[in-house]
Amino acid sequence: MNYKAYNYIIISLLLAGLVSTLAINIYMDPLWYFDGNKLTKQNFAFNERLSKPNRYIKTSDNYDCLILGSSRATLLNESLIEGYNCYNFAFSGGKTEEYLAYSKWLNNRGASPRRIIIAIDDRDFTIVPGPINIPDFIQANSAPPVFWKNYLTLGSLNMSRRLLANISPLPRYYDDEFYCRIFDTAPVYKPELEDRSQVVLKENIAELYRELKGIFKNSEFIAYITPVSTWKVASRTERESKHYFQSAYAISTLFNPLYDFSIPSDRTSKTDNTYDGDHYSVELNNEISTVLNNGTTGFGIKVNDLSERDYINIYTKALNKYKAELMIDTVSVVSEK
Amino acid sequence: MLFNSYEFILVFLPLVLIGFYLLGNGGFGRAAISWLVLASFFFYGWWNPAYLILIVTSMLFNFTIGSWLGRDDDNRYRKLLLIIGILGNLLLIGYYKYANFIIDNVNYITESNYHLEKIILPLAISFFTFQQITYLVDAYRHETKEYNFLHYCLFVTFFPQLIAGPIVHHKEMLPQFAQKDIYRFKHVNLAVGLTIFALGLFKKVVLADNIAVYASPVFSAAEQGQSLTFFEAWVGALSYTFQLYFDFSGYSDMAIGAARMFGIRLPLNFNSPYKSLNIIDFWRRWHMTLSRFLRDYLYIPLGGSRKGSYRRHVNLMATMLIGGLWHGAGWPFIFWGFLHGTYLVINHTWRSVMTKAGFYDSDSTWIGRRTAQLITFIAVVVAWVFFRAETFAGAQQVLAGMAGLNGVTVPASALGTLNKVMGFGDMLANAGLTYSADAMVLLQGDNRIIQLLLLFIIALIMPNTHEYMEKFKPVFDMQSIQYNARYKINWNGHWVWALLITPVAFFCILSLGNVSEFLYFQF
Repeated sequence: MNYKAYNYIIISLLLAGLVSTLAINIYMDPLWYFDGNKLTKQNFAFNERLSKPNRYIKTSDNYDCLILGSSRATLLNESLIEGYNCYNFAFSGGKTEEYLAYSKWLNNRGASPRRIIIAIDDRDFTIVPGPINIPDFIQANSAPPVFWKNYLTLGSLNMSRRLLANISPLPRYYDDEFYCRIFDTAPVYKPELEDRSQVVLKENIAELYRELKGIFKNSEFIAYITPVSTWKVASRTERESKHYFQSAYAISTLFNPLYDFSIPSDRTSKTDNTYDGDHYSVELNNEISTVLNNGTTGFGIKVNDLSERDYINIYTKALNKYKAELMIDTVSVVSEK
Repeated sequence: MLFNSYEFILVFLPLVLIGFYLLGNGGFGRAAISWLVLASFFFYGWWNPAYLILIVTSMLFNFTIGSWLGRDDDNRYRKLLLIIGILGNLLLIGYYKYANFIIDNVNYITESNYHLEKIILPLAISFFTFQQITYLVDAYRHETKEYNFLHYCLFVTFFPQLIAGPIVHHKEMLPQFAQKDIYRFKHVNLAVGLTIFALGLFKKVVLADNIAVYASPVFSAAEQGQSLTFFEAWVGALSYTFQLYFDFSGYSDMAIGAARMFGIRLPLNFNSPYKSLNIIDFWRRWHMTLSRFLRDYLYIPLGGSRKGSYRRHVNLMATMLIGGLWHGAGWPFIFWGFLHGTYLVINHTWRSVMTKAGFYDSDSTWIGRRTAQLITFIAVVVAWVFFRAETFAGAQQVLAGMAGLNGVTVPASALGTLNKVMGFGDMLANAGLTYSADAMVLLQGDNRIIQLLLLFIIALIMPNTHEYMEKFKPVFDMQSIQYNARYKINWNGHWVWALLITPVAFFCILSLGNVSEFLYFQF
């Protein structure tokens, strides 16, 4: 047998395959190591826990402001934060423990932002099923894995294929300037009440934020609770509501200001500005930016200005008002489930 | 550096190969050996360069003692030298591997509170220590001698076998390094080596790593005291059984394949052990070079089977207990060794009784052989539970589930499938079997059973890599392989084989993203 031919076939085909894979992935850049997808100019949210640090590292010298949060905060346009060069570090499924790890990583890598905006979700006050997901390089305080390792994987090749075929894993995407957008084809939100009787409450949530605040001692912090649909707020049990108010108020003693955009309002009682009741339109997020910039509260409330009792009263009053307007009957719907 | 890493496959191995053959083909054999030694040091020091000092010190110590032992003069201090040499090695491994275990046990028994800082186990210490003990004993017996430190360094550190074996003998390797033939590049060596390496990589990154995710949640839940259902426990135990099999088999293949690229043959270390018809046969097929070490340097010096059946059983048990302890400093490992010792004693006793009664293994029917194979396999699976579990309580939880002590509930989704076979599902239900959606809740679905079945077929029925490659003598002890000519599948280096192996290798390299360590690295 011709072993020379055998070796040449294997080695040349392997090299060709690997080089092609690398070239495709570099061109489509699904993990944002370079300038993102060069073909369709859309960047999907595949693995923001890696792609956000990748993009940050490339340009980190420029940023004096950070946005930390979950996917809900990815829609907050970083360029609208006035007076700062802001980087939106929010990523899908982000949990407070993960922001902590990322903050330590950023701090260890020399980040010293003048301003940090923390987007808090109402679900942060509960135990969300699933493990805490902190990549090895964040835990090890090292740089993200080199691009060629991640771009010589089936996973990346599959992501590139999806970018090419325009099959996004989520209803939102990032444009060629890495601003988050929502597809026109995003689902239409169908509000319904949820059975939240099994929700497990997370205790001492404020302690995690206190720890987070301690990482960046010289930074100015702004925090806000992300908007959530009125139907979701109405689904909370009495126990959960009580815990929510206590947690939010405790956090407000750490961050001044803390805005709460989840309070039922005209915006969160509509269904055409969100695709799932958690992720709101770019326009609504732009309104949030305005509040964060100016401190005005045409939308949401500033918790710090209120006593805990007043905060609860205003929130509950708003909830009751919109429940009546929208004819949400919590008891009957939940009991049907 | 791991065999299943980009650094090794795409950078280190090609560079070392190119350097070795450039020097070798140019007539610089000594430089080629030096290049391999340097590469092996780099390979070893990749994780923690500090431990290079340890391995070099260990080699200097053993080479010095071995050189003295290998001299022809009949020095009356030779035995003392050998004892010093072996004790030196045992002290080294004892400190790094067992010091904390011993202190913990002393504290437990005497209720004292001695404390030693956590000692990080240097990589491969179990392997390079045992390998050097064999060298000392062989030198003492005048079976080998070595006066060239460079050759000795290569014997100990040759990177394909350095980290997790096989445990090789000095007399097996040095004659190969001395052959001028190995310095000349041969396409056949690269072709055979590449093929075996690719198949090993497939076993590791595709078969072992993919089944590992089903073992971990089951054993974790058991450690936390959670009750396991019958199917969860069996799927967990079998997943680990196959994970370890394909992990170790894959590693052994990669070691043999990488060495063969340099024209070097390593001994066979793994020969389809789950095909064994009895536990004696199992230990002739599983980690063969460790079994060989324990047999030649422990069991036989203890008296082996020469001093009657009672002493044989005691020797077997002692050998297996130490074999268990070699795998890890913990009581579950020792108990695993005890279980295998017990199995061996039972097997030898059974064989002796049956032989006296006039029955021989070769007389067995097909059903008899399959029954023996099944019993052996189940015994091995039960022992693996102790090997994998962190505590006895965890192992007991898994075994309780496997024994059906928590009830036997079939996954609800299986009912439809079973009913397709002549209403079998309903028949079982009428007979009292219960179906539940919670039967496999830890494992999220019952298609795991199909995956396990596939692995079962590969491990128990299909020929192994060395049987496919038999004509090219991939290992130097080919007599261990009893190729079953029925399969009629032989690798022959035809271009069709290249077209089959290339996508396998390509798929494996693209699957390296989640690099995982080999299980035998921890022993």
